[in-house]
Formats: sequence, structure tokens, C-alpha cells
Amino acid sequence: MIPLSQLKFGENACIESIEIDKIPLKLIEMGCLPGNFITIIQKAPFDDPLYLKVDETHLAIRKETAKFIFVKLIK
Amino acid sequence: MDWIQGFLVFLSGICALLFLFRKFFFKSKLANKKGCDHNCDCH
Amino acid sequence: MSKSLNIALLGNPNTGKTSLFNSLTGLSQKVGNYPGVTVEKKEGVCKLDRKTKGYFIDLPGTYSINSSSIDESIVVELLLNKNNKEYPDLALVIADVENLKRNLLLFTQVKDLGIPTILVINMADQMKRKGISLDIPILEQTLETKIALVSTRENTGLDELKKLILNYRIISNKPLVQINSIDKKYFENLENAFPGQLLYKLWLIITQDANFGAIQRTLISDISKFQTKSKSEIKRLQQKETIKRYQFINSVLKKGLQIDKASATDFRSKLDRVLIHKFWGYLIFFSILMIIFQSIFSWSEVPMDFIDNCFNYLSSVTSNNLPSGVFTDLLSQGIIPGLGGIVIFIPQIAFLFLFLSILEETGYMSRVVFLMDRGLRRFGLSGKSIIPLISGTACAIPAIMSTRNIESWKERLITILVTPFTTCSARLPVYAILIALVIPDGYFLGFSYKGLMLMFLYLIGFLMALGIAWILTTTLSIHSKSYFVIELPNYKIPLIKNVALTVWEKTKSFVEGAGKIILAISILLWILASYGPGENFNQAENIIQKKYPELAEKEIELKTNSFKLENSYVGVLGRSIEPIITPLGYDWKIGIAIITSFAAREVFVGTLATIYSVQNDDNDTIKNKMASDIRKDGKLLFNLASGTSLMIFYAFAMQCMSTLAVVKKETNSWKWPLGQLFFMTILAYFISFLTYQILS
Repeated sequence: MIPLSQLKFGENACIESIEIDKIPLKLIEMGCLPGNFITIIQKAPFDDPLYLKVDETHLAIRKETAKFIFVKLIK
Repeated sequence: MDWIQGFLVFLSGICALLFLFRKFFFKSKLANKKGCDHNCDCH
Repeated sequence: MSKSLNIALLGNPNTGKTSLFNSLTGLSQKVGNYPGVTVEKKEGVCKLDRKTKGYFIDLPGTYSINSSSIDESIVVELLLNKNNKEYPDLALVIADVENLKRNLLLFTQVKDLGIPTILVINMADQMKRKGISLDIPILEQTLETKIALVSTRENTGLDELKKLILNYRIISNKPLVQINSIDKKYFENLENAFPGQLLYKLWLIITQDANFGAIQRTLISDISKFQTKSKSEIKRLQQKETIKRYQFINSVLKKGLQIDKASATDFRSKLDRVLIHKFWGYLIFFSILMIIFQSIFSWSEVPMDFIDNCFNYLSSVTSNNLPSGVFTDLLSQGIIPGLGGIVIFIPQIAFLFLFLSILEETGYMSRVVFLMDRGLRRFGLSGKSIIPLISGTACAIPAIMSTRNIESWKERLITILVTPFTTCSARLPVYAILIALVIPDGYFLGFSYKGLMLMFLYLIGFLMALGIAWILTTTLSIHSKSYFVIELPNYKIPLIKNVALTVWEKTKSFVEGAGKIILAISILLWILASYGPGENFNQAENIIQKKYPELAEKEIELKTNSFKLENSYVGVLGRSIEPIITPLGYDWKIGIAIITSFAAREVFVGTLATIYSVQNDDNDTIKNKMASDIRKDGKLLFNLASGTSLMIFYAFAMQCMSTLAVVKKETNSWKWPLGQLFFMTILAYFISFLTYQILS
């Protein structure tokens, strides 16, 4: 299990857990929930912010938020 | 004829003054009253 | 007898909610404000059948009923307040067929409030191409609602939707998700304390930070006593609720939705690969900005000249055909030139809004947010600040309102404070006339000097905004949680109807808003310029004749007019402030224009137009009159040094009352707008002073 901020470009993963006090409710409502699939589509320069695809939603978050989402790699 | 024209100028001047006065003094006071009884803690 | 229905339109951002609203209501829509807040409120009427009118209200786009901004809290405030006369008889939740799962979250929340809710699935025309198939009867049964398949792009499905709206009573208003299942004991207590109330409604009143003040005061105050849970516990329950809702939605979609992944096209990711590329992305963005500014300036030249000539013609027709007298003079020298000064900028403003709404509609704007976040954060701003900074080129007022979706208060405050530095469309008239007067013709690398000067003015405004933001972020000590979430929607070809409506609406409100003020100011100004105190004004002709006995009649008349103007009320007032502005290269006429333009910057041009018409009522264009005005020291009044210094002054000065009022509203204190006014004026004065001294 690694934090999302360490996930590499193009890797597929599944959300294992999130640190609820550090994550805005909006992100949870947009589909950042344990069990959902997640991929990194693009990283801006300096790897921040991250362009993700969670479930069906395409969204961007900052690296500092991504540290509190923990994912498991899927081969 | 002259006095009619003079009167019209006077009238438009008064209207303009009243309009600006209402726009910038009266209205802003009204808005202030409503402004802050909520959402103060939304930041 | 005719009936009327209140219908609320809800939906996630980027689902085509506003397109549907436009299709239904067209030009009948009105844009206003919600009382007390500056959230835009859009309403419109649509005839549903021969007897029934639908009053539609387009609520701000939101992902959930749980609000995280003022805009979003409008939604929950309306839906919880049964006493509001706009309380909807039914709600339409608009969903994008590609993001059905996420869109249904809002749908279940609205339906659980006991409001009859129709699900409108938009972009139905895309289903085949994306390999999506829906089983509508199953979805209608499991979601206990009626579903309308529409395409706002191809204008299909609207008649069926109207029929469903008319039969809204058959829709059940039972909740879909049992809220008490997330914490049995807590909700049992709640139910006992407030028997007969909808549990989900009580739960929203507890969790939301919105303004329920006027709704049901007693109930609210009782509930706030009941709030025994800590913030963190409540958030955990909200997460549990969200999971519960998604479980329900998943079970529904398992039966009713099928996606054939193979036929999904990859257009989006191909475009993304270029548009948000680490190098090309930025290059494309800056090129787009360059093209926009260059074309605003060159495309609008022809219509602007045309309008200028029209107003001159109108002035001369008025003064030649009406009986002569002071009121005719007021019309031909005061009102018509003053109004001309505003109408002339309609082309530029329309082009600006055209480009901005295209950027927004295509989905490109959120890519720009993604690209700019890291860079802007260094200056204490958020990626989302790019939207106010760009739309500030139209007007600072909507730009400052659009800062609401910036999550961190510190980043938002700094954005509000620096947005007035961006070159708004009201500065364009001032720049346009000054550039035309003082910047020479000629080309550099294919760009005209005039176009480059305009670009330079936009650039220094933007750079100043960044610089001040950086100073503020290092000096202000505000601690606020900062996070950043933005959806990157699918690319879309903009709908002409939407773009046209936006351009029409914004241009109209610009003309109406500024037009009235300019009309009033030009009337007053003309009166103050046409009457004066004392000997110098009333005996002007004799004084001049004595002073220059050798001059021809025509010359005497010109000299008399300008002597009269100098001694009129406005002249006396202007000359009293002249010592302050002489170091910047301005005379008293410019001084007056600076003062009046505090109402709105574009009044500057109207003011000068009126003053010059009083001084010289030849049928020459205002521009030519200004170009030939000579200062006391024998130089042209509008020369390179004074003109540039004036443009710099307008670039940095806080010359707009309405912006100050909006900043006051958005920050809830006078501290910030007054600080802004004081600081920006001093900055503008100082830099203009330097500019003039260096250039002259």
C-alpha cells in the first residue's frame, strides 16, 4: 500500500483507505472512496498537481492532498 | 421658447443628481444592512 | 384559468444544465441576484402547455447538496425552505450520460428531500458513439422517478420532458436511501426530539453551514442545541452516507446501465496529451491569449469608427434641426457625445465575452487551471485564480465573484485583492483612445505598435497582480486549510446558442449599467461646464477681444470658448486639483475626467467627449479635437509622455466604485476594499509620475 502521490504515470491502482480528516468531503463525493479504481493520467511540471481518473471522473488534486489517499497497485 | 429649454435643462440636471445620489449612497447603505447577517463563518 | 409551476434545475457542473435552461426559456430569462448575496440568479419562463406556465430557476452547479461555497449553499437554502415563494413544485436533476454514477448522487439527495424529482439525462445523442445503453424502465422503477432523455445539442427530447413535468404528481416522493441506517441510535434520538420532520432534512440542517436564518427559526435553534457530535464525527457520518448512496446507485446501475468499453473513442486523451503537455500546453495557452488580444483590437476597429461617425452625425442633426437653445445644446454637446463614448466600446466588449465564453464552454478553462496551479501557488494564489485573472479582463466584478470556488480562504482573499489589476474592459476605452492619440503607427515583427502597446498594458497589469500577490502572501498571516479539487470535463464543441446568449446578456448589462451612470454624469458635467461664476465667465468675449484685438472672428470664438470653459464651474474645480496632477503631465480637463471616472473607468472618455464638445462644437470627431489640444507650455496635451503616464495610471489605480462594493461584500469588511483603494491609488500615482518624468 502506497500513498497516491507516489503512484507513477499510467499505473492502475485501487483505493485502499483515505485519511478522512485531511480529505475534503467534495473529493469523497466525487468518487474518492475505498474500493474505486484510480489512474494517473498526467502530472503537471514538478509532479503537482495530479490529473487523475477516479472511477468515471476526471479530476485534478494537489500532491499534498494525494499523500492522504492510500492505494494498492494492480498489475 | 428660451425658458422651456432652460427648464428642461434644470429638470434633467435634478434627475441626474437624484439618480447618482440614489445609486451611490442610498443603495450601498441598503446593501450593507443585508450584507452580513449570515455566511460570516463560511470562510 | 392558467396555472404556474415552480421548477428548479439542478445538476453537476458541465452537464449542460445551463444549455437546457437556455433551450427551455430562451430570451425570456432574467439574471438577478439572490437577496443579500452576489450569487447570480437566473430565472426564465416556458410555456408547458396551453394552460400552464413553468417558472424555471437555474440553480448554481453543484456535485452534492452538501455545500462547500456560497453558491452551493443557495441550493440547499432554497430546497429546505418551504415558505419561500420560489420553493419548487418539482426539481429537475440534469445528468450527463457519461457520468451517470456521480450525477445520481445529487439526484438521490434531492429526491430524499421529498421533492418530486425528474431525472433528465443529457447528451443522449452521444450514447451510441460511447457504447452506452440504458434500460429506462428499470431505472425509472428502481429510482422511483420518471426519466427524460434529451440532447441539448440537437434539441431533442424537450417535448417529452415538458409532458413529464406536467404529470409530476405521479412521481413518488419517498426517500431512496434511509438516512437513519448510518447511525441508528443518533437518528432515533433526533426523530424523538422532532417528531414528524423529515430525517434527511434535519440532518442537512445540522451539517450545513448555510443561512437558514429566516426559514424556521425555532426548529433551527432547537437543532443546534442537539448538535452533540464533533465536526470530525459528523464528517465520518457524511462519508458513511456517501458510501451508502453510492452502494445504492451501483446496485441500480448494475441492472440499468451497460457500457461497451470497446466502442469508446479516445479523443479526449489525445487532446489532453497536447493541451496539458508540460511544454506545448503552456505555449498553446499563451498563443491563444495573444491571438485573443490582438483580434479584439483589430477586429473592432471598423465598427468603432462607424459608431463614432454615427454619433457625430447624430449630434449635428440634433443641433441643426431642433430649435436652438440651452436644452438643444445639452442634447448635442452633453448627452449624445457622452452616450457615444460608451456605445463605441460595445464591439470590443462583445468580442472579449465571445472569446471568454468559448474558452469556458469547450472545457479548456479547467485545463488552464491545471496548468497554472503550481506556478500561481508560488505567488500565493491557486490554479483556480487563473479564472478570475482571465475573466477580470472582462470585468472585475464577476471575476471577484468567481473566486468563490477557491477552497482556501487565504488564496481566495489574495485573488480578490489583486484581481482589479487585470485590465478590465472598462479600461479598454481609455487605452483605445489614448493609444490612438499618442502611439505612432508602425510595425514590429508584423505586430502594430498600437497592438503591442495594448498587449504591454495587459501584461503589466497581470505582472503587477502577481507581484502584489507575492508580497501579500509573505506578509498576511492567515492560516487556512488549503486544498484544491477540480473536475476536468470532457471537451465539447461550444453551442452557438449558449455563447450568443452569454455575449448578448453581458454586453447588455454593461451598456445598461454603465450607460445610466454615464448619461447622468454627462448631463451634470455639461451643466457645470456651461455655466460659471464671476466676471471671467460672463464677460469672456470682451476679455478675449481686448486681449487679442488683432485676431480673426473665428479665432476669437475658439479662444473665447476655451477661456469660458476654464472659468466654468468644472474648470474652477479642475484647476484647483491641477497642482496635484501636473507632475504626471495632465491638465485640469484630464483631472476632471479622472475624478468622474471613479464612478466607472469608461466615464473618462465620455467626460472628455462632453468637455471637448462644449469647448468646440465643430462636427469633428472627439479624437481629432483631443489630438489638437495644446497645453499651456505649447506642447500637445496628449503626447507620448503624458499619454503613457495616463495609461499607466489607469492600469494600476482602483478607479471603480462597484468593484469596491463587491470586495466589501465578498470579504465582509471595509478593511480590504479601503486598503485596496488607498494602496492602489498611491501605487498608480507614483509609477505614473516616474513614467512621465522619464519619458518627457
